[in-house]
Amino acid sequence: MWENQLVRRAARNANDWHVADERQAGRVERLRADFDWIMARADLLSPEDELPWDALYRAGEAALSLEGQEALVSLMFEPHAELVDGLAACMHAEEDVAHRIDGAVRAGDVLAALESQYDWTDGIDYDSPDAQARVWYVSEEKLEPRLGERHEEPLEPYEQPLCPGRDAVRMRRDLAGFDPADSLGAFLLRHPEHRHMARRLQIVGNIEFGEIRDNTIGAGMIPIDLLRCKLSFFGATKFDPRSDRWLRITMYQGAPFPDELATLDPDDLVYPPLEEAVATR
Amino acid sequence: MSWSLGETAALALKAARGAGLSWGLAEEAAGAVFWLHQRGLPGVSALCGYLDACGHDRPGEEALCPLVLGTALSDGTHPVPDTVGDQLDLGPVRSPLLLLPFLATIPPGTVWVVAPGLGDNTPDEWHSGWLRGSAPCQLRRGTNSQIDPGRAGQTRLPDHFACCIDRLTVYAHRTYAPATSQSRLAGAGAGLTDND
Repeated sequence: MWENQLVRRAARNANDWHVADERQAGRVERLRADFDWIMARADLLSPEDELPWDALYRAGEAALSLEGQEALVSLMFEPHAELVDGLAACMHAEEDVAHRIDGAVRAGDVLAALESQYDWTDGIDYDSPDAQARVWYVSEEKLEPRLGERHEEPLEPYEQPLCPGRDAVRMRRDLAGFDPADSLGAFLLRHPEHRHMARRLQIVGNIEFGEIRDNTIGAGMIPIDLLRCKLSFFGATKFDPRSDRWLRITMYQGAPFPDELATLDPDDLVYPPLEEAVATR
Repeated sequence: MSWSLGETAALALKAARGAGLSWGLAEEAAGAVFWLHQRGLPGVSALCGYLDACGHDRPGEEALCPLVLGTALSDGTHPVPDTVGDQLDLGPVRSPLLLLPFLATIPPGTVWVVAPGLGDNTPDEWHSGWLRGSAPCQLRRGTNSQIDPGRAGQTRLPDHFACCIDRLTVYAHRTYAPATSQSRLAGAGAGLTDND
């Protein structure tokens, strides 16, 4: 089957992915083993199967590492251009800095929305030093975003609002002591420091994948994980960490040279061809 | 140098934050500047005027902050005149041009701000008192929008606002952390050599 060819090409891509970083090297090694599982299952797919993708996905969830599950899901998209190609056009963000806050909504409803949207903060104690160990700031020297150590450098006055989990917890605390029947506008008159968070809540409430639901200022946060997510949108592959906040990536590997433009399919370049296909090309 | 309105709003956000406003209020300032310049109105001048005066009231001359008042109006926590012809005294408001974007959000967009001491209210004849200092203001309920919605077609900031951009850049600079040897080592993760 065509899909099986693609799976083998993706497996070859994983075999060609080498990194020095121990954490990632372990994940890549596991991914290669995951591809053995994926290839074996793909060979068993039959047109008579009932809901074959669903069965494969559920089995993959139980058997594969996170890297393997992501690889499997990516492969399952491939045969369905009609479902996924259009999504590329909506991968941008509307950056309306002053999205208007609906101040009429009841404080009780805002609290309920915070508890639902930020339920992942329940297991984080933001009063502990580790949970707030980091500070996102902009450096005067480079005019670029940087990450510093809150408890070791005098950076807090320069902190950027890039810690929605902590800010949501702070707003929840203050909202819990406020009359639930009163309006959000009345709450913000008393607590203008929560205005940024109130706006964020109303924006992300309508966007399922609107933000990263984890502690972006915790001591255990690995910045390159955020970078990898962003770079994947640009088509970057073979993520290669060089430190916890610096990485190399591969782009355009397999892309055609000028003399090949007319003969190669531009939508079929993410994974390398199989050895036998290269030999006959 | 020509500035897009997006760049102008991003600078306004940093400038307002650098001047000491909360991030949420700084976002309102940025949105107000964007809205005004879309309609050909001097938002950056008004923001400069406001930030320069912010916190410098002499006793007995306190005036309302147009951003705090504006958000209260757009949030629905400040009363507005209900009936055409009604008016409501606000008292002195700083750089009152900045109120216009907030009033425009109140359905159906027919609340006006007027400053009787500053003469005519037609948008092309704004007295500098709308941009700097403070003026006693009133809200009035009109029959149409104070600023014609058809004006909202500008996409760039005219060159003659360069001095305001310079001023806002000074405020924005206050949001940047000075580098230390520790931050140079840790910040981007590449150490002191960045030759990869």
